[in-house]
Amino acid sequence: MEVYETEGSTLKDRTNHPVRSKELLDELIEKAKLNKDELEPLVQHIYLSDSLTANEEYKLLELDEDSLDYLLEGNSLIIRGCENDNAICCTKNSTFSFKVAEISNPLLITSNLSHSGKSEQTSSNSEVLLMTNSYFLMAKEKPKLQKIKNLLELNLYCGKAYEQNNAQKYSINHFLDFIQASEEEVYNYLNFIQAFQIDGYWRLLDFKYSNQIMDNIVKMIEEKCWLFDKIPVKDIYQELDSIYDISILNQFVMYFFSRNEDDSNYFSIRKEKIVHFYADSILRATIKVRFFLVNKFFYFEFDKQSILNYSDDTLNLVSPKSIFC
Amino acid sequence: MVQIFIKTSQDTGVTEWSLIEIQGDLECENGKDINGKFMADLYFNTDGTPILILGHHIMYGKVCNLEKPMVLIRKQKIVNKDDHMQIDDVKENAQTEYNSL
Repeated sequence: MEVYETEGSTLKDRTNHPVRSKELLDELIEKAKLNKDELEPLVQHIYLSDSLTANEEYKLLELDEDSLDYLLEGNSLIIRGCENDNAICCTKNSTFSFKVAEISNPLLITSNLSHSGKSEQTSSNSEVLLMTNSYFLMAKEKPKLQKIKNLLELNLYCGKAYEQNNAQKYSINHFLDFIQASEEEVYNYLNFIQAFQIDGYWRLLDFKYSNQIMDNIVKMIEEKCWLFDKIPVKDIYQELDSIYDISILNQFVMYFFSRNEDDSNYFSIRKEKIVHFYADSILRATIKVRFFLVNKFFYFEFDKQSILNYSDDTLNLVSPKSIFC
Repeated sequence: MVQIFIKTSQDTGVTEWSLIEIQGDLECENGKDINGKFMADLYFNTDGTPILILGHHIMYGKVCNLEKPMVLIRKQKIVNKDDHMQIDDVKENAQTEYNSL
């Protein structure tokens, strides 16, 4: 620590703080009734920074270890939401609430402070950068994603011919501006509600439209007598790409079929997804009916659907709860 | 409807800071300006106990690790051509804490 004399003969150091003289320190130790023999050699002089009260912009944030590592790797935590929302903070795949904690004891954030007095130096200076009674804290939260579905349902996709130019459309970046969730959670949700990417925007298909696509595909399966676990999807594309956009067909297939492991040219049906789809369409058609026996009802309706023969077990996948909608 | 980013500062990187928790409030006499003023001397006992001499007070404390890590962040307003974006820079980590009793 360099020391140099100034004109006023007050010793100051590199940080421009006056050096606390040895005599003064010895006096203080005596007054404090401390035994010098029991003290470590280093004394640290703590000063308040020149801009302490002006430092409104500094804040403390308490995180968990994972979020800290995430930050140190160079990633950003992102606070999202609209003006009236409670603050939410996101990493790439998680959502946290962002709240303020207030405590009675002031916290002083100090630079250049050693946590032990063991040192070759006998004296050093430290500065308090921030004095505060509050800090931010983060707690894991469930993301709020329902808004996405509500917005997408306002402009369902029914085919190119029915597109309205002035309707509001949303890309992933639009969503990230105001949906209180992490990017990965948004993508997972879009997948869950079976949203489609059309011309760079996320859309939900109008139900009649997706029914048409499904009926066309099922008709093909029946006509060509394809096995449910050996469907040549390329043939479907060839036949239907005059009616539907290839990208929509592709995404549709990804939702309701899965690629075979042994031969990537063939796909298998995803039973639960397709049963769910048809159950949905039946329920929509019969929304006025409130009370009926589940098993009998499905047996009757599926009689009409001669192609897909499912056992009662598969049909029971649709829980009774969903009927009262 | 904005996104506020909190990220590690490019220019200062991350440094280690210390956090001192004091029981009581820090005030300056007659409401004079406290900026730049000397606050306290910190000693350590040979058994590791920190001793803070602050004005007429002698405070004994202990060094302990924070339960959860803390970071110090500083607000920076960045004006882009298109929009306002607020970025909070992570300046430093406070890893250890003194409790002054």
